[in-house]
Formats: sequence, structure tokens, C-alpha cells
Amino acid sequence: MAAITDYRIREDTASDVSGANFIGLLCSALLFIAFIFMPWHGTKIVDNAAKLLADLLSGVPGTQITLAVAILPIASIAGVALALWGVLQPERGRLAALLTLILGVLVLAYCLAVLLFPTGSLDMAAVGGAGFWTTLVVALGMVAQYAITVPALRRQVGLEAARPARRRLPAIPPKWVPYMFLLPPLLLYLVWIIAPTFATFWLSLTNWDGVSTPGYVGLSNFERLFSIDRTFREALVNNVRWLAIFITVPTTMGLGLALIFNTEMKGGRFYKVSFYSPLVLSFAVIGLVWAWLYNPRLGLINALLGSLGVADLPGWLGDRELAIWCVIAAAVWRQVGYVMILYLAGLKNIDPSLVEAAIVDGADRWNLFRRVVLPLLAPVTTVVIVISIIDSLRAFDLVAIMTRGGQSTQVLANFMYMEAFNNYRMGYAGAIAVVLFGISMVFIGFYLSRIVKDELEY
Amino acid sequence: MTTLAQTRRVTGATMTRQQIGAALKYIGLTALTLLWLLPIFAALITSFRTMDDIAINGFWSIPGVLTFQNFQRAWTDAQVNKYLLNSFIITIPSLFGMMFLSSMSAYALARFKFRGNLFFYFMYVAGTLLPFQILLLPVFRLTNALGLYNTYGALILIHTAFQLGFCTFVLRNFMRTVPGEILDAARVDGCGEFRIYWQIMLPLTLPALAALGTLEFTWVFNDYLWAIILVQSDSLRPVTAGLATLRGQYNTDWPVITAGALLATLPTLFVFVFLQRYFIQGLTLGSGK
Repeated sequence: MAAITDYRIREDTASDVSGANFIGLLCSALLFIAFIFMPWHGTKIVDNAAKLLADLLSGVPGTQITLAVAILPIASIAGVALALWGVLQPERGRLAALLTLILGVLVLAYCLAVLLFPTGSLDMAAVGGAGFWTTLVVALGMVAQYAITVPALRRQVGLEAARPARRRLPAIPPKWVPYMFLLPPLLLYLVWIIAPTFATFWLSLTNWDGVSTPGYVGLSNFERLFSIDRTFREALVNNVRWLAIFITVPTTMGLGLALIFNTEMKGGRFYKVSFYSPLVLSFAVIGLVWAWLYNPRLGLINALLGSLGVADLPGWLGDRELAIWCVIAAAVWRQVGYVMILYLAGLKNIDPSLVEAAIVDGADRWNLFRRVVLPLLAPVTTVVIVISIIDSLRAFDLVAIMTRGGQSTQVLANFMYMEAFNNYRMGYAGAIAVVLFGISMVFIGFYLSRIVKDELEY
Repeated sequence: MTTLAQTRRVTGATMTRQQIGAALKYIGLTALTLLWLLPIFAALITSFRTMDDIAINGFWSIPGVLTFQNFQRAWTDAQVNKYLLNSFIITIPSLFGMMFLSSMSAYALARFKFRGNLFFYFMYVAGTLLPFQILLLPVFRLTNALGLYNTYGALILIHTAFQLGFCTFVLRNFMRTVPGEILDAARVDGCGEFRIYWQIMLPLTLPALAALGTLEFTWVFNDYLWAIILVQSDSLRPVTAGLATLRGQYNTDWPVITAGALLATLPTLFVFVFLQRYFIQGLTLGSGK
């Protein structure tokens, strides 16, 4: 009987506490929004704390760590985390509410200090912005939410005695163990990969030249990119060409070769190795070697054509019409072996009994391939296509080495590199990167959703 | 009787047709393979000849002289030896860094149930697929701000960080296949979590680590983009960026350039010849999912 009563009361307290946690969550989220999006150092929306943070991270001279930058993001993120913790684990809700209270007091103290000492070194300019007033309200909310847990507390008092004695805590609570493994790599990853990804979005809205302070210019980089810039259009078209070739030629050729090599054959190993040997070569080496093959006067190809009596020898990389296809050909040369390996691995995983059953049922070779093997290879095909898309969007090295983007061979990645490091239009380059990101996000999203599905079924 | 004879005749006919088919397949394959190896063959031939010889007699002529001089010039005059050393100085620490860190996060993601597990996993996968140009400018700024610009450290850090995603993805999926009973047994015996990871999980993950390490070695070694962005001094350049410099120096002296390119390939060629099995495994591991 007693146990049942206990249970009911604890359910009650839990719901009370998680109400407090919800308020905490709301306040923390609002604090985050106030910090990032609201005018902070004045009335203009661009003078917000996020800009301050970006300037700080990128070492713009004259920026210093102000209290707002130090306290508010930490408080908001910690507040969200605490509240989520409390909501998801009701038995910890009280502790979460208590810690949120402490955060609220901290933020409140900051607001009061700013109000009371407007001439001090605390962010006096902050008072002018809507961000500040929101912060003040949020701080009050974070303090007030704890009040809801008080009745819950009172109800729990009677239960304290009935609880079984707790076992001594181990040195590290087991719950923290995964995070201790996760944290060191995660920190590196956040600083070098995740944060820069977002920072590029900010940079794309500025006119940064690599030296002076970036100035906010809104969407004008994108406007220029889409309306005037011919090179951008050229690069986009070339990327699409690259993509079109990449998802058709190496894919079918790799699949064909994999089907041939999948059956035992004499010398199969030698043939296989020949096809995937380009994979270990760096793009720098491939670019140089192919540039030599394409050499209009002495290169292998024209020397051969010349000796065959072709009078009008093409200029290959020097020819505006041909150059991009020449570069793509070099890329295809490398890619075929990769696709072949992936398909070979996929074929190895196919259950032979399925194929045998189809043969017994009288399927001819075409139908066997079309209706049995190909559907079974579908997961591999997805991977191959995603890899082809990503690789063709990333295409940079070969263009940079073979033509430096000249002769109408510009691609987005190299265009961006040249704008940034040859013309010092970093902000503009950022806009190109964002476009590139947007295009690849479509495919990444598609691939990720597939993986998510797999994981949830697991 | 008649049916038997018919059958025999039919099999006979198919046998010859099969033989012809097989022969055609071999001829076609051989032609294609030779075509595929042609660029490598061309580089080899060129590197042993002199530019004068090629210019006067043409590419397809029988070489008048064969010389090692191009290799010697590329190795010492064009400093391919120094560039190769730089490549190793950058690649080896990156390799150890990424293997260690990613095996830690993979262990956490594969072996523990905690909130955010899947989120972090997807974050790593998404990061792997990102076009790295999106990171270019901020990483350049960050490197400058931290005073790491134009140091080996800048390249080691970005390679370690950028490959973390892929390595975590591969290792996490591999660690999931390790039977949990082994780890539970150790846990029951009072073994600490870090010891379980270090003394039980890592040895069991060794096949994946070997395959992944081989693949990552070639990737980091062959990187060109970060090499030209984060390092400026000629004395720090890895071999990929060094080759671009070499091309600028020996503008039309293709034998020296191809000799340099071939020398630059030696380490990865070594990997390809001796660790080929791991290399192939690494490639397929990543797409296993």
C-alpha cells in the first residue's frame, strides 16, 4: 500500500517540477535569441552580440571579451541543457530547477550591475538595446520558475525518511562515462569543423578582405553572385557537367567492371589492380601527369593523333570548349576504380542462393542482372551516387592544378578559393561557399535521412 | 538417341561460342586496361628521357638516351626530398591523433546509451559529407588568430579534426559488431571503463583501425587544398603543394616534373603494394552502411 502511495505522490511532484523546467527552457531559449538576434550595443540589429562573438573569434582588432559575451551564451546554453535534463528525467527535475535558479541569479546580478554602474567597465552601451531588457525579464523568469518546485518540495519532505539508503557514488558517476569519452574529440570537432561551418554564414554577409574588420553588407554578396557574376554561372554549369558525368560514366563503368571481375577469371587480379591503382595517386600527381598527356605539341595524345595523320590537332586544355571535359576525364580516370571496388564489395555480399534460384527459374542473364542483382545492389548504388555527387561538388584540386580555372574550366570550389586568396574578397568567397553548402545540403540531407531510418530500425 | 545427339551438338556449339566470348572479353579487357595504365606508363617513360629528345624525336619515338638525371634533379634541386619529409611530419601525427580521438568517440557512441547519442553520430556523418570549402575561411582566420598560420601544427590540427567525422563513423559501426558479452564480463570483474576501452575494445578494433589508417594515410598525404592555404613557406610545404611549386619552376621541363610526381607517389605506392588489402577494406568499410 505504502509503495503505491509513494509512487502517486512522486508522480505529482514530478509533474510540478517539470512545469518549472518548462519555464526554465523557455527563458533560456529566449535568452539565447536575445543574445544572438536582438540589438545589443545600440539600436541597429547588426550590432548584436553574435557579431561581437564572431569578431572575437576571428581576432578583429579592438574587440574584447565583455561580460555579456562571457556570461550570456553560457547561461543560455546551460539553461536549455538543464531544463531538458529536468524534463527528460523527472526525478532530477528539482536539481535542474535549482541550478537554473542559480543561473537566473547570475544573469540578474549582471543586469543589475549594468543598471547600477552605467559608467563602469561593464557593458554600459547594452542598456540601450532591446537585448538587455529581454535579458532582464528572462532573468526574473529563471528565478521565478523555482517557486513552482516549492510545493513539490513540501510534499516530498514526508518521503525522505522512507527512502532506502543510497549506495555510495562511484568516483565517476556512470552516466558521465560516455561523455568523458565523447568530450575531447567533440571539443576539437566543434572548434575546427562545426563552428567554422556556421561562421562562414556570417562571413558571407560581410565585405571582409582578409585584413580589415569585416563590415556587414547584408545579402549584397549573394545579389552580385546571382545577378552579375558570369564566372559564377560558368562555375555552376561546370559543376553540373561534372556531376552529370560523374553519376553516369564511372558508375556504369565501375558496375560493369565489377560484374566482370566478380566471376573467377585468369589474371583477374592484375586487371582489377590496374583499374584501381589511380586511387592512390594524389590529385596533384594526376593533374600534372594528365596536363602532360594533353600537351598540345609534345603530349602523348597529340603525338599519337599526329602520327595517325590528323592534321587539325586539338589544343585540349588550351581549348575553351574542350578544357573542362579534359579535366573531368582525368577525374573519371581516378573514380572508376573506386566505384568498382564498392560494387565488388556489394556483389560479394549478395546471397548466392538468390542468384541460383533465379537461374533455376530460367532467368536469362539480362533478367538476372536487371531483376535480381541490380535491386540487391541498390544500397551500394545509393552510396556510389552520393559519393559521386559530393566528389563532383568538392572538385577543386584538378582544376587548380591543370588550368587554375582558366579556359572556362572554373568550378565553384576553385572560384571560391581564387576569390578569397587571389582577390582577397573573403566575404564574397564566403557567399560562394554558402551556395556550395546549400547545394550539397540537399544531398547530405537525403543520405542522412536514409541513415536515420536505418538507425531507428536497428 | 536423337535427343542425346542433339544435346551434344548444342553443348558443343555453346562451348565454342563461350570460348569466343571469353577470348573477346580478354581482348577487350586487356585493351581497356592498357588504356587505363597509359598515363602512368607515359609518366614513367617521360621521366627517364630528356626534354630535348622528346622535342626532337616526338613522344612515341624510341628513346635515344635513358637517364636518371631527372629524378636526381627533382629529388635534390627541386627539393622533393624536403617536401616528402614535410608530408610525413604532417601525416603521421594527424593519423595518430585522429585514430585515438575517433576511437574514443566511437566507443562512446557504439557502447553507451545516453541522450544525444544519435545526434552526435549524425553530426559526425554530416560533417564528413560537408564540402570542406565551407570551412576554409573561418579555419584560415582561426589559424591566424591562434598564431598557428604557417606551421605544421595548423595542418595537423585541421586534418585530425576534419577526418574525425569519417573515422568515428567507420569505427562506431565496427565497434557495434563486437559482442557486448566480452565487455560486460570485464565490467563485472571490476575493470574500469577506460581500461575496457584501451585493453579490450581497441585490440578488438585493430582490423578496422589498420584498414582505416591505411586509407587515411593516403588521404592526408594526398591533400592539396589545406596545404596551399594554411602553409606559406616553401620549407614547410608537403609534397602535393611542393609539386605545384616544382611545376612553376620547371615550366616546360616535363621529364623533371613527371620524375618529381613519381617520386611524390612513392610512399602511397608503398602503401598500395604492401597494404593493399587494408586499403581496399578501408574503402569498403566507409560505405558498408
